Amino acid sequence: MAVIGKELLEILEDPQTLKCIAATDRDGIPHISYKGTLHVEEDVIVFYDILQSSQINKNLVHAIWFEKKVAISILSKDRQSFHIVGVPFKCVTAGAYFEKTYERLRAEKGDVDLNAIWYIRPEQVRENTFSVRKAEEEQNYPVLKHIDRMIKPEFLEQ
Amino acid sequence: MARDKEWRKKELSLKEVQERYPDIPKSMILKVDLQRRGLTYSDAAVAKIDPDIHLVNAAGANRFRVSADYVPDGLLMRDGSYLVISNFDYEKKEPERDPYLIDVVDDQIVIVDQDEVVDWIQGYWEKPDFYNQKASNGEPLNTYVACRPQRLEITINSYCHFWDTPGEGCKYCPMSPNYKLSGKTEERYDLKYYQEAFAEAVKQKGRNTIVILTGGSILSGEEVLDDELQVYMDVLKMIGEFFEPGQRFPSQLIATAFHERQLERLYEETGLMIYTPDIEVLNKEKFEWICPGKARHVGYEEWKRRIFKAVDIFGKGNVTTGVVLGVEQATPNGFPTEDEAFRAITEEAEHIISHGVALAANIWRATPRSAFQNQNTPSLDYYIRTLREFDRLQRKYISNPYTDDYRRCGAHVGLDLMRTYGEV
Ligand code: SF4
Repeated sequence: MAVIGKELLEILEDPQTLKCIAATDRDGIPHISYKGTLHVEEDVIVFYDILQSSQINKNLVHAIWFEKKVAISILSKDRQSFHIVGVPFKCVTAGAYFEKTYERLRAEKGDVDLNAIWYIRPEQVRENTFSVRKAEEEQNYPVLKHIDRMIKPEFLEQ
Repeated sequence: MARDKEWRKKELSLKEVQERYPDIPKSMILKVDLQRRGLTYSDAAVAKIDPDIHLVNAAGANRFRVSADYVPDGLLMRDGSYLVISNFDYEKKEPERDPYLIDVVDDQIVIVDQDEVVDWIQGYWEKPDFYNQKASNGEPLNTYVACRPQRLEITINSYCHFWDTPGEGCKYCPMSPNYKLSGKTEERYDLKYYQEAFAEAVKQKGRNTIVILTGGSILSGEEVLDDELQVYMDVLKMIGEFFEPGQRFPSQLIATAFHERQLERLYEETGLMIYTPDIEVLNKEKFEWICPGKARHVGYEEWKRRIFKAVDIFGKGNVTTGVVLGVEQATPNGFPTEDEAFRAITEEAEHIISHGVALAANIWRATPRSAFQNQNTPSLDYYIRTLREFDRLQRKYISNPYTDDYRRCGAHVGLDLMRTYGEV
């Protein structure tokens, strides 16, 4: 299981952060959905699905049944981005904790429902911010680029 | 039939069936097998039961069993679905096949077969708040309204009048023998107590998504089944008082097949949403042998015609029908091979499903006190092969998955597959 670092934990707690999750349906068609409630509990990603008929819920059910992975993308308010790959391993739809969460969400968000509480085990976490990815690329694949970017400037100016 | 100790050698194992059908979730195949083979609890698993928290041997849910074993009514699976297990009788000393064991490993409740952990579960169903309360007559409210994790369940008649004529009750069903054994004298209760229980039950926020009415058949009335219709309508009207006038409310009635005039009244005069007249057996000849009361009072073709009429009245997606999958192979008059049974019932299933009627298939277990109590049930492979075909047909013909689904039921494992149907 991959660990979510302190910096990302703080970003996830910021209400201005955008968080979305992508999963495929039984025909392999991907679906991406923004999930404001996505957060971390004891190293596990948790979110509340507050629409009873949501497509992402169907796709997560498909993922838990067939041990498929899902992708999560995080974008902070200052455009730091992170990519997480995880495996849904638990879906809670009933019980005292579910009901408590349902009541809390309704108190916070008004007239919403609660379809399921999803638990996703992160397997891979990486920062995807452009500047970070570019620095990584330059270090790991120094020649993976168009040749004109490598040619000495005097040859380009001719 | 004495237990066949060699049964494992004669049929595909759980793992083999899971490998054979990679497009069916392993967890669903396991759920089918749990219902087929049954389960027992280790001491550690029993120690995890807290009767203040969990639904244990709830009176109202137990019309299919009489033992007072200390067992949970159902399991919460890790994919968020539920598994009904309370309608299987654990008293059976000689189950046809070895049951699974519910055990605890590293503080986690797990499912074990032959000393191997095959999956883990979230836990046992929890009890609703109203179960701790009493009606005005001092009886526990759960005498009148039972529940599953997200549904309320009102069983109106705990005796089925097909049993009035000896030999006419459905051969897999122990309901009326259990009623007689229980010493009860009232087939149903005063409407006022259902009202008191329902009023308390709906106060719990975030728990219930539907109310289900069911019960044994009542044949009396000016026309056959008129009294049954009236009893259900009285309860549905009482429930309707809790909603805005004229509003349909999330509800399902599992009842005998009413004719169109009765169906029209049911639809017009109540807020009922889903109607489920269980056909039980998908073959005319086997139906007549297994459900002789239904055959004599309604008839197979007429039962089907009434299901299709119900679709015209309630709308596509709002009519389902239950089957007891596997009884078509009971001896001596059932299909002699699984292949023959598969061919015959899937052909009939297509005819029914093509009218927009989903099949809610129960997994047959030879239940004590039923006429079929000493029979053996089909292989896991047969169940999965058949449920997979039902699912293929349902995806072909039914666009509305919001009917008899995993959440509102928990018994019909095959309908779990509707959880991933596309949006309509
Ligand atoms: S109709 Fe058949 S299955 Fe239903 S309660 Fe009566 S005997 Fe049992």
